[in-house]
Amino acid sequence: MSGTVFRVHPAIGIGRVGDSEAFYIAPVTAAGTIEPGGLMGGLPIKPGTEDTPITADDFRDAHGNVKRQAARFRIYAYPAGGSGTYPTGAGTLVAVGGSVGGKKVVDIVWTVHLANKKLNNYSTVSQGGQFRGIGAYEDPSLLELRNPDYKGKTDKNDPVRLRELFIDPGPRAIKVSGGTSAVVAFDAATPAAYANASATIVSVRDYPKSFPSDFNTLYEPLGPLTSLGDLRVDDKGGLVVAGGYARTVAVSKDGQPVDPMTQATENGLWYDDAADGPVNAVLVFDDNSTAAVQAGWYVTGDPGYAPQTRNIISVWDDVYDVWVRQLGLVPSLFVNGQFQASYQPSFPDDIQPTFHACMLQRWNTNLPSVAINNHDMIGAIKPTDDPTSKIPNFKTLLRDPNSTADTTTGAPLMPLSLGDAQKSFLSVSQTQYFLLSQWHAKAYLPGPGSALGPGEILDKITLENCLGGRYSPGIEVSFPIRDTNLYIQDWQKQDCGPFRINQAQLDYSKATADKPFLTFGYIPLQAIPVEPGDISKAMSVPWHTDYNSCATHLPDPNPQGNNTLFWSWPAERPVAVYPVSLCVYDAAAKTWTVGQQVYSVRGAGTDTPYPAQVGRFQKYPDFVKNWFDVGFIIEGPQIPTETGKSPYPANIFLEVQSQFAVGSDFVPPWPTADVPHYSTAPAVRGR
Amino acid sequence: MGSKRLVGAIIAALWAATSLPAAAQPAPTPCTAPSTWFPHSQTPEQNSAGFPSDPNNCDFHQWAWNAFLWLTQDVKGEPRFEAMPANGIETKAGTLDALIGRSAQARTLDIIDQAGPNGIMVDLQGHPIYYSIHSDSTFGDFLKTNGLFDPAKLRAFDPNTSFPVGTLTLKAAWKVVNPGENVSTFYTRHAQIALLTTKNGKIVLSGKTKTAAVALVGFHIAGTVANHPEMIWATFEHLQNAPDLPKKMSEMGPYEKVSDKNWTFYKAGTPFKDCNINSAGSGALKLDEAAQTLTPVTQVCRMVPYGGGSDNNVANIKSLNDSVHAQLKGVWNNYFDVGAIWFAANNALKPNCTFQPGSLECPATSGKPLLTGSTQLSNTTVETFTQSQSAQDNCFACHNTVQVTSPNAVAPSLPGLNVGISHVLINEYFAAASHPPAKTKH
Repeated sequence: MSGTVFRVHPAIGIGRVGDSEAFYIAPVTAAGTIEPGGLMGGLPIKPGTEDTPITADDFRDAHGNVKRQAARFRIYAYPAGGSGTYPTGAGTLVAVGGSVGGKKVVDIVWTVHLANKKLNNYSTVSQGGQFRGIGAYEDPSLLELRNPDYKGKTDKNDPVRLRELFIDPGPRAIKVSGGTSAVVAFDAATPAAYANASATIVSVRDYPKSFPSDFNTLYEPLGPLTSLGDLRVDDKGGLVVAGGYARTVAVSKDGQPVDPMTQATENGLWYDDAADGPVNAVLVFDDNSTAAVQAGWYVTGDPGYAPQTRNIISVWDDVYDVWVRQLGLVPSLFVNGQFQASYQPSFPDDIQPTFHACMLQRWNTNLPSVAINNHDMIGAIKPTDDPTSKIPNFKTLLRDPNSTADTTTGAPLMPLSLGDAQKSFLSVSQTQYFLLSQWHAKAYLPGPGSALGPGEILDKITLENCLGGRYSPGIEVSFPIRDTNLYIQDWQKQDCGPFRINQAQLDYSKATADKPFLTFGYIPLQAIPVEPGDISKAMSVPWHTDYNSCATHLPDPNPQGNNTLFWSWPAERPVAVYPVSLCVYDAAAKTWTVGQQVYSVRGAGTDTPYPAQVGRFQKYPDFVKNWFDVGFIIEGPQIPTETGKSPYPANIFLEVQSQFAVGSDFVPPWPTADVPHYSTAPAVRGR
Repeated sequence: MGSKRLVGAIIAALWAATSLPAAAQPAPTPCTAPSTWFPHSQTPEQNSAGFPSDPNNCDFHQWAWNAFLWLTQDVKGEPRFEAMPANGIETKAGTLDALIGRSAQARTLDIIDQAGPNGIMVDLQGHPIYYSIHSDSTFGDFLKTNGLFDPAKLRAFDPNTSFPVGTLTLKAAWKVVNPGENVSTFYTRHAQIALLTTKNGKIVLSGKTKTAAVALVGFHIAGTVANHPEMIWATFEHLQNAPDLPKKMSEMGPYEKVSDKNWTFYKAGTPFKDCNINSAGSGALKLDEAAQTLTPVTQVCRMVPYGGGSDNNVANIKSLNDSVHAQLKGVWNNYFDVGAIWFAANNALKPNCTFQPGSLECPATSGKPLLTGSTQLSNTTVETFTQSQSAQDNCFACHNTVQVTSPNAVAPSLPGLNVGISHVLINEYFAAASHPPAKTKH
């Protein structure tokens, strides 16, 4: 098989927590792109289908529990030596029963290793209570270790810390020939196992599994944390990885958590079941030969409450920016430290999704009508329009990511959201900025750009549906996603394609029951290979508190004199929504009109006289107890209507399946101010 | 005004010559109203063209009060601002209607939406506050002379050209008078007011009107003077509209009462957290169509008395108000200058600037704020819901010269223009450009 290489796609797959055993499959379309049927992309798909988008009824199971999102990985074959350029446009799906290079594929054996290493990692908050993002790793003296004195162990490499603060069920293997009904769980009861180079599943009986209950008495407000998810295979030979159950448990004393849950991102000894890890596979052919496959990586994120709302800056925008500017991905676009004026972005590929993202923000935020109209205009821009008739002055609309002054300037500069660590306001990536400026200069292609292969499409789409730009710490991944050390950088030499995580080679034959298997692992800005748990460990402890907190805030740093509140992550953390039950139907005209906005997170425990605190539970533990009540935002045609009424139209996105009463929450339009002023006690965020 | 400046110069010269100890320094010259403004029937027109080239803070406030008095002066039975002459500009589909040339008395009061975030102010009796917009012939003639009633010509207009000296644009806020209500301290008149209805859950104009007595509660004056093409933005209110906060808004607790007294738009004892709630913007406002009343009502508080600014600015406003009130008689004596805002530098208006702190401020003087006067100026009846947000808490926060992106896919966006400082012009541009005249068949 020397003429062919095999790769798992997507290179990075995203699952999402839920409290149901049931799941749907991660989207195969991108939010912000309109599909041929007219539906906005980004919707997850129904299990057992290739690409059938879910409806409003699919977010919860029959018991009302939130379904998990599973990531589906597939293997694609490429001609060897084809990694010289990106995109290749190549890639053929490898399925059991199919042929590759004259051989028939008879089995695929997958190995996945998930872990959660959050509690023995550096805090998101560094010295002085500051979110510095990757900046803190430029001066390691600024870093603060989470749980720095856990059982008197202060060395991050101490075996007690590695064992007891990690959740590590070890690897799991599953083979396609075992059938689609098999489920392999990342729990304590399921044996650790992996597939070796000859595709034999090898049990690792002495693998030092670790779960929180092994070492401490726990406070378990949502029940015990016993699993990080599970594996299945599908009928195409693909792998389906479903993540955890949104559990969070705390080390306790006298029945109460030893660390009160009072902080947005750093709550000490609170475990959750988010996780990540490598997705490896071995192909088995009819001549009993095998072939290795370039690995993918799985990550568990927060629930996808608004899957069709594209982030203005997606993880794709950040990853693409890193690869373009630092790893030579597209020399025609960027070479020798310079963007190339001759490069013409594609309007549908590179420009329109960002415009659609602008248009979509209104469904999760309390934009006033004037801004909604402006955003809708941007979203309606066509490739045939004169850019200057729509945006006469590019620089007074879009924040320049290279301008410190722009970064501290709010409206009218866009995006109108909070910025990344140590930046007041959000900026598009440098590559996005260049591509958009090329469009404005009329140097663009009205049609599609270079064709992506099917696996390359999955790589891109998966990350397009994730939150970028503002990693403090984020929803699915955090600032390390911009660190070149995270990736296999000699992707052409290794013939693995771009965006692949630099996987640590783990020798499971050396696992012993008496010492931890995983190490502290990857540290941003250092060339340390990436272990299971090394991506999710940069996220909040636990994720619930961060989600609850990140509705609206003052900028940080807050420009002098500013008291206006801005949104944190509006595309994925809806703040203000339009409940379907408040839509008004005009029977004569057979039309629907959206009604009053309410807060997405609402009800008892969320009331406050302080605008800076609206739309969230005032006490973090209350969100933990109610996270599953939050509703989902979905486009009109996917919402069932009552008999005799017209369907909900496309291009309206309504809240469905909320388990909060609609109530009479009051959502004034932006701008709102921190008046009455909300004063917090001195922050003790870092530990 | 000239004599006061002369006195000031003499005092300054004496101070330099004698170098008096601090305790013996003379008090600053108070900002007062010249006696020549009174009686009201003889108030001269404000001298916009002769505005001093090196004005002090008082000069701006004096211009504002002078303009208020002149514009409210009785002309054939009605205030001058309501009797501005027609200038004969014809309007038709696809061209701007800058509200020129029609008598305000004949014009229906059909604006209830405030500028900004979808606000409707509701008085304590449940009626919306209505607004009327007025402009003078200088404004209209400028548009006509430059062909700016044609949207295409406005788009292509020289971005550096500003409105000429003497331009005035005005906005009046009107409260519906209830039967038996004592409005003896207000200027009142009868007007056709637009009636409201609910359509698809939204409160909209029904297309019907009725005659009602209305009382003036707020009055904006924006006008250009020599060296200040950005306009002086001044605003006046009725004395009994709403209470000032008893302390800085950043120090107010949510449950603190703002006033123990009833005001026209504030019920005694209402806590701070319930002030200036934008019910319309949230969709929470409900209409009783038969009674033409809305709920909930708006409890109005003045977040920044006199629009803040320097101590000298506030002192000048207070002093000038006192001076006018001591000399003025009649109903107009019940109104006061809330404040005014302008640029600290002469002729600093430039296109594509926000004039707010930040990268688009376009400061004329490095290191110094461009805005001066009442730097957090709002009228509680016109900008009720944007008094506190730093993003919109002064006139220039919205009235600037950056481009205005189109509200729809039809009208081209408007480039950054000096004349974009006027929202009368911008709004009419988009009204016209969004409905271009039908093409003629050939």
